[in-house]
Amino acid sequence: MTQQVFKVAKKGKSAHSTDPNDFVFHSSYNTFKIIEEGTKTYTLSASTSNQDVVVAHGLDFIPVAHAFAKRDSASQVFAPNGIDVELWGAKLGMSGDITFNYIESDDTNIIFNFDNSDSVTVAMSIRYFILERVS
Amino acid sequence: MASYSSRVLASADDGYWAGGWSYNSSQVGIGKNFLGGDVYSAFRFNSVNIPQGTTITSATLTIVDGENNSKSISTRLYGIDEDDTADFSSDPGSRSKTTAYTDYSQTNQTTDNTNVITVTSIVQEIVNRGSWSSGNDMGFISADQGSSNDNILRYHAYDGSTTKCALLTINWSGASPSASPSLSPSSSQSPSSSPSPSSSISPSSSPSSSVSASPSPMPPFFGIRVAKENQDALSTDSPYNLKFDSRFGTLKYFDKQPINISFDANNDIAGKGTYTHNLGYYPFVEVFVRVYIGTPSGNYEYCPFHGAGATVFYHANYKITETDIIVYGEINGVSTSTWNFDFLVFIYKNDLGL
Repeated sequence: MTQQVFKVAKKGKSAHSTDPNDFVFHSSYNTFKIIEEGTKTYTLSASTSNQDVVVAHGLDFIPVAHAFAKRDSASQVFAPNGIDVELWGAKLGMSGDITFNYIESDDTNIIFNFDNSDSVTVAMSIRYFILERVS
Repeated sequence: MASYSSRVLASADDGYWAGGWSYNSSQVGIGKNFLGGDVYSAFRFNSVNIPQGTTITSATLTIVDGENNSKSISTRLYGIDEDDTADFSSDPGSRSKTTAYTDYSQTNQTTDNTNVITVTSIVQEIVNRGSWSSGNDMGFISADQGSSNDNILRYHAYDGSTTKCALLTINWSGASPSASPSLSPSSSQSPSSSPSPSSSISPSSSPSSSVSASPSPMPPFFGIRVAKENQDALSTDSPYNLKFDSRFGTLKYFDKQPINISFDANNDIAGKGTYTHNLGYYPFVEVFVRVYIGTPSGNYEYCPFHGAGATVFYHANYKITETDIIVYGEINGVSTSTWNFDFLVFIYKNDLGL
């Protein structure tokens, strides 16, 4: 029996190409579906490391989650395992007050972990995406 | 006696709040989250064709357990005190609630078990509104009433099952009105302007010609699905059995940009590079980076990235603005070499909305 496929090629690419990079969609490959997305606002305590921001995901499985953070007073977004780069200079390196340490998920919650080395509280917004289930 | 019976008919007609508002999940939740926050659900029913001021003889909201669960909730169900409540594509938590309510408690869940909640007084209050009009849309919303923390029960939502999502049934005295033309079977052939016919409102075959839901054995699906091997796209609602499902959004990858940074550790300890996207919003971005001295070598790592050499630590980071992606490389330690950071920036046209 012939394997049937559903393919949508990129503009200028052949639908008969064997390179998956030439397709917008190809039924031989799975896609990340955005099962759920949301925004969590939170105020980080001043001068405190290892702060958990917890969102109950309400799902019956452990989800794969991705997220980005933005301090409300800034016009820049940063990613997990990174810092909110506020100061930069070729001979100074990069520095920021907020560190987005990691994202963790379990069967109940998504947990976003931050450090705040600033001496004042910092209002944050976190945009998260649930893309798949772990199991 | 006339009656109305319909399930939720669209993705944005049910949803729940659990740290953020979600209306396209396969289930809705009610209870209290780990931190003690109210996890509430809302349900909206289309074209409730009850004349203004009609006496309601009975009304029930039926919700179906979405899983096996041993937790307990205590909640209060209100009507949304509006003449024609809008869909729930945004959080309806701040909408006015009816004075009438029904308290509801539940302990334990068994998948697919039905729970019938009487909402007669709530429906009566809504149809008694001066500007209520037959054919308007009616909504309900829960509010916690003392559930313990980390107690959430989950119920089938439209996006999980069009035949097990919330059902509203109303009986009232008087002659039955006809079905709304906008929801007649003839118009339900257009997926963009009507609900799924699996639960569309249509005249029933009963002598009273009341308006009722008429689920079919195999719900038709308006949209595109591509199932995984050995899965049937028509019989599964689980997104995990599908490679593509038009009920769910996807990451819309549109561009890949290399950015290369090079700096002499004798003179500088960091470098930066910029790619201008000019999208006017904060896009979803993924970045990979390869760090090396001399000729290009090594693997691309997911960024932000922190590594170590014999005498140095090195760090790669990035930030997103509404116009640019700015990448940074930095070394800390003793080195006289020229360091290279090769970034690959993948940009998706998904607005982070921050």
